[in-house]
Amino acid sequence: MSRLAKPFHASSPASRRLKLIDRLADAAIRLGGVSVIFAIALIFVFIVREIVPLSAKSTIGEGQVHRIETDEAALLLAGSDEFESTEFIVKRNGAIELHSLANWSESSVLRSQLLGGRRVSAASLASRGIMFLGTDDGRIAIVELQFNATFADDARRTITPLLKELALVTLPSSTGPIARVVGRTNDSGLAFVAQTSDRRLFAVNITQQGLDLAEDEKGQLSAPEEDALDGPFQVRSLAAPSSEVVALAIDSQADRLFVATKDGVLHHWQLGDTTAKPFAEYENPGLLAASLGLREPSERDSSRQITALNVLLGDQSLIVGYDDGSIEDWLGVRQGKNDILRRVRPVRLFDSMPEAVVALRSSGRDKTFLAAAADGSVHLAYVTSGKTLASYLVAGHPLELAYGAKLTSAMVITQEGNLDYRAVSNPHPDISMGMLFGKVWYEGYDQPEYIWQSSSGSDAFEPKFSLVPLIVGTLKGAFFGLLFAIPIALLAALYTSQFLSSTLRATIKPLVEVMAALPSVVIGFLAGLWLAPALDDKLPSLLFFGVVVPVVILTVAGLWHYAPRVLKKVFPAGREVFVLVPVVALCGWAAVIAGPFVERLVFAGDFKQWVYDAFSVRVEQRNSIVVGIAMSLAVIPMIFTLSDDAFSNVPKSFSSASLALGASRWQTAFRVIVPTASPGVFSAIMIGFGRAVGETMIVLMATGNTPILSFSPFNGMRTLSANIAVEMPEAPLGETHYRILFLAAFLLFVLTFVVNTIADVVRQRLRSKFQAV
Amino acid sequence: MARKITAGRVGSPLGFTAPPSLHSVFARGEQWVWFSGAALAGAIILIAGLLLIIVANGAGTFWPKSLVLVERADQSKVLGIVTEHGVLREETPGNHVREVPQTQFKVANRDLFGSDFVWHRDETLAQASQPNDAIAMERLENGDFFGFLKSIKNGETVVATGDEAWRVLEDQLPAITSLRGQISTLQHDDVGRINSAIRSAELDIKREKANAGARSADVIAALELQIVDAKQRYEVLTAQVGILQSQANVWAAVMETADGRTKEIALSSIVDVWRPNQMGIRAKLKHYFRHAWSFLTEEPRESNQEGGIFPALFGTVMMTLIMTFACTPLGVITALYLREYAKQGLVVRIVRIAVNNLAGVPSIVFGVFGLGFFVYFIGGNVDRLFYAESLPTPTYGTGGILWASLTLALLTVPVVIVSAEEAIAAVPRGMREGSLALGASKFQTITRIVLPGALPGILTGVILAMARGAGEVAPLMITGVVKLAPELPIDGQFPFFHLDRKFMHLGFHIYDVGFQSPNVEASKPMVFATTVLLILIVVGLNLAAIRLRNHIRRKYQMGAFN
Repeated sequence: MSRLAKPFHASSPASRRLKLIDRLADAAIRLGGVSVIFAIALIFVFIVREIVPLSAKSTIGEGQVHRIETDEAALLLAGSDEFESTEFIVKRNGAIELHSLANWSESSVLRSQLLGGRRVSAASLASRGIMFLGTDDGRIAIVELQFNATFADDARRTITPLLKELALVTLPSSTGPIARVVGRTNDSGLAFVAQTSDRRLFAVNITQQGLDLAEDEKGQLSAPEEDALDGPFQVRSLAAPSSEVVALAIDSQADRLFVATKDGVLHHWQLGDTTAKPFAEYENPGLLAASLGLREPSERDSSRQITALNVLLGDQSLIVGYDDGSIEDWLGVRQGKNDILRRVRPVRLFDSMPEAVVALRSSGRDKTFLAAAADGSVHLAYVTSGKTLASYLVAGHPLELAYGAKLTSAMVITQEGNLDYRAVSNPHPDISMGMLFGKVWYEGYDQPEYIWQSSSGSDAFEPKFSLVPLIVGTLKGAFFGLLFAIPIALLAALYTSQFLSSTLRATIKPLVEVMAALPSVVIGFLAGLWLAPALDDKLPSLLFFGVVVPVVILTVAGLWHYAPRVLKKVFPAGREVFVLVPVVALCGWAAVIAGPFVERLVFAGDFKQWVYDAFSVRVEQRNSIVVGIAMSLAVIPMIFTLSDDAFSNVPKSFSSASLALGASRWQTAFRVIVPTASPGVFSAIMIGFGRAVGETMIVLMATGNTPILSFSPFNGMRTLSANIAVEMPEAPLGETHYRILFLAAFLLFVLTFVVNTIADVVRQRLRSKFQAV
Repeated sequence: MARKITAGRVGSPLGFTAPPSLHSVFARGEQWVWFSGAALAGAIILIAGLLLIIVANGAGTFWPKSLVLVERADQSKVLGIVTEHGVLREETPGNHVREVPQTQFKVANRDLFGSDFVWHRDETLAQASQPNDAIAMERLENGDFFGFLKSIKNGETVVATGDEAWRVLEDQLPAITSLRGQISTLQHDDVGRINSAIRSAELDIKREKANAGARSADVIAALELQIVDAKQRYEVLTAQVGILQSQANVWAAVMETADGRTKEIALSSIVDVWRPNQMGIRAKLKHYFRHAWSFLTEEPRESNQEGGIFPALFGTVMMTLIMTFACTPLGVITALYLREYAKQGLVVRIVRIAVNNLAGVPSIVFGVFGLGFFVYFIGGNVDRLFYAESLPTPTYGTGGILWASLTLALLTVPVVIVSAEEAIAAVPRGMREGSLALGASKFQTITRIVLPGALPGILTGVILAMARGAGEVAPLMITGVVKLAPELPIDGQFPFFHLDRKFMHLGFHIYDVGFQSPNVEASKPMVFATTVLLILIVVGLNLAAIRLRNHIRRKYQMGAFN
């Protein structure tokens, strides 16, 4: 074409301009078209880009080993400030040595006046930098290491360490060294448990008032010989353990104390209750995991000794390390229904370490912990999933561990006097396939469960990211929606395309099409605020309606045979629907009237009670039936239109041939039209399913939105889409929760895209098949 | 099958033989036809019922309903509107359940009675009447008031009582309403202008300080002077408002409730007052339309449960328009590319299927993408580049009308692409070839022949996209819609269009007021009215699209090239 045009205009400037414009437009449209298609593809790419980091492995950087200058090798404790810029070490001689992590040689030393030259034999670090230092002569010095950050004009941070002396506690009639101390800052003040080398255990509470008293006495607090169970300074001596103590652990409220002894007993004290005996004693803890089926029983089990204990943030999990390197997670589990206090038992095993576990340190912000074994290997593990996230090996024999406040660094001090510092990157520890799709034993539960509970205000909360209740909820919503929609929409479409008179068809079809555009927020609103309360006491009516309608229709069809000729003339074949609208409406009205009678006759007067007695499920007002009806309102127009298209696109010759052979109109419709159009019907249902799966507002408004796994039609549900709508505004950018919501969106995207593509391909094929006929 | 066909022959459809027996009716499967007809009837009932319930509840919202004064058996009196009849199930001794009929009244006077609604058992209601002097009152706070007018006071002096009082009330109300209008103009527009001047001056100071140029000290001093000046103007305004307010607050109506309590209501807090039992049909109609109008044009009050929905209506329309401006050119260009430029082959087929199916992807997925991409990624970068001085408070890095509109544009662009493609394909080949044969270039053919021919079809697609976009709520919830936006996205302040602002939306308004408000029962009528409005918009747009489509069909059927 253009070749023809060329010779005439090739030289004229107008034509050259025209050609230029043409070429420019050509480029612009191509560019525009390709970039829009690219933008659409970008949706997929971007969503995937947000999900991918979830699978990122935790990484641990190269070790920086620092030699601690000390005349004696033993170091007691290490830690860092909240910015992870300064590190501190507590030495046996009582010196607290601070180093800048950026520049190791920048260091300073702080000394507690309270210690007054005493040597430190045990130390424990609590929150807010509070340290409990046990001395050689049976005292405990409590100091607070503060890091005061000041910001210069150019936003550079200067950190000034400051040691605040709180108290020096003298235990009753004790001169021997303190062997172990574990301390906490709890709601009432400070609390610690100390074990002396002569195997005595003391639980001490000091309230704020007690600290004020100590301040007046230059920090000195002396315990009376007798137990003091109340007042600002409480001291209680616990019954001496049966043999030598090997590990101590205490929860953050200093309420539960765990003591492991050399004779293989784990003692569980409830310090809140002042009985002289432990709340529980677990004999042979190393055997329990095997007897509960968590691991294969082996000969080693009976000789397994506890070497380290740690209570995880949140006070629910007790991490237990053994001398053969195995690590277990113990949870409080209710044995009987009425137990108030939970006894602990192992529920999970972690990857075994090569040698005895010597130190456990839990994170202050989430459910991860560090474990060090005697051979120098260190594991970073996540408790809820039971997964070891990363591991490395340090030179020497580890003594203590420290986990940075921001969870970006790990420190190991060794008996040889080295400090091994490593950067830790652990962006999404709380996610794995098992956590997303499997049953997980969460803290506070008595068995593994599928739970979605994404956020709470505190760091101690264990996030529960099981997508299973949401996926089940999504499918349940779609199922009930389709349960109502498919029969109505398909039969109505069959009637409209095959039997309805063409004039009526021309008005009814567009009407239904317009309904497809009805905003789902409108349907959801009506379902939640009108239908749910209206249906609340009318479920028997609904059941009755379902039974009575077929009977009535059958009767009407039979009676119509005997109807007077006049009536048949007014409503000829193809206009039966005029008769049926009042009939169905009347049935509905009758069902409403008859509902209470049915309830009295069949369901003993109270349907909800009957359901509860029979299936032990409660009938909620906003239940799946309400959602199903509401969802069907959104889906019916869609399935109706598409299947009507499929039915009416069957070539006319098919039905003509069938009718000519003497088949009745129903036989033709059911045996010729329906089988031929069945791929189209299938694709209509698929597209309806796609819509039902992604529906958000209806589910949001018509259900209680509780993410509980339940298949009962009398409960509500929470779907993936409603979950996104509810939680996305609160999910912090880049965090696990945010990315999991993206994952939910991705699942929806893929599911609907695949379903729609299948439907589309099927429909295209059908169309070309019909065209060929 | 063979058996059935034999049966069919007996009851021949031509009806030459005697009327078929009942047995043959069922043998021919007539009952199934009736079943399928019943399904259609059911669908029609469902749809019609849905619309009927919404319209019946929504359209009656502004109708002045009669106030009924009911005397109860225990001599106490109830004045209110009958809203619902129900049945109370009561356990009687002996484990019997007794069903007691009861009636719900809207008694209003939330500040006195605690709740707007009350249920009374029918057996306790003795005598009902509709007193002529019963007054219904819409107030700025605490909802409606139902009662009787005792007197009108100006300051401490009683000006009028009885019937005279009503006349005075009707006389004074318009003047006080206009005073209130003046006050709100002062408070809203003028104070708003001063505040934004102060804010921008403060941002300028921050920027100057960061720049630390040679003359910045002078500039800062000048800006600080501006702030001081603005604050002075603010003082003057506040004083002015105070004077007007005290003028408006002088008048008060002394009201008495049905149970004899008196309540003094400042005229300045009365939005409207009427005596429903005395109104004729014309007066009621007038009242109806006046209230419907103020519903459309006024700001919401009482955490969205009362007043109007203007900001939501405005937000919906504006968002839909921005969305349309974004998705129309994109959709048309893509359709042109796919139809006229791209090489028809496997790739284009795949793209076409993908685009088609994108329309079926749940809207919330688009919302998630909009939040991640537009808000956090693009918005965050825009903030870092252009609005660094106001960080960490985000400007574009948080949900807003622009991002919500673009998200919806992405959601609706497949609709436009599909229908534009169809429309372009429907332009007869002959017209195209004729144009090319006459020497027109490809682009000329497209702009002069193809696009004009396809325009109605494209418009249909655009209208359908608008209808879809206007009714979509879920993606907006995470990209910038709010329950109450203090400012409209367009106002008199430079640069007039504030696309970064959050906005209100009719659909979200329904969700929020219907499900999140503290007093769902009292706000139901407003939600129904909002629903009717949203349906009118969406269905109206759809009907327009359908009519346009039918129009095109007719046009092409008559076209010379077919």
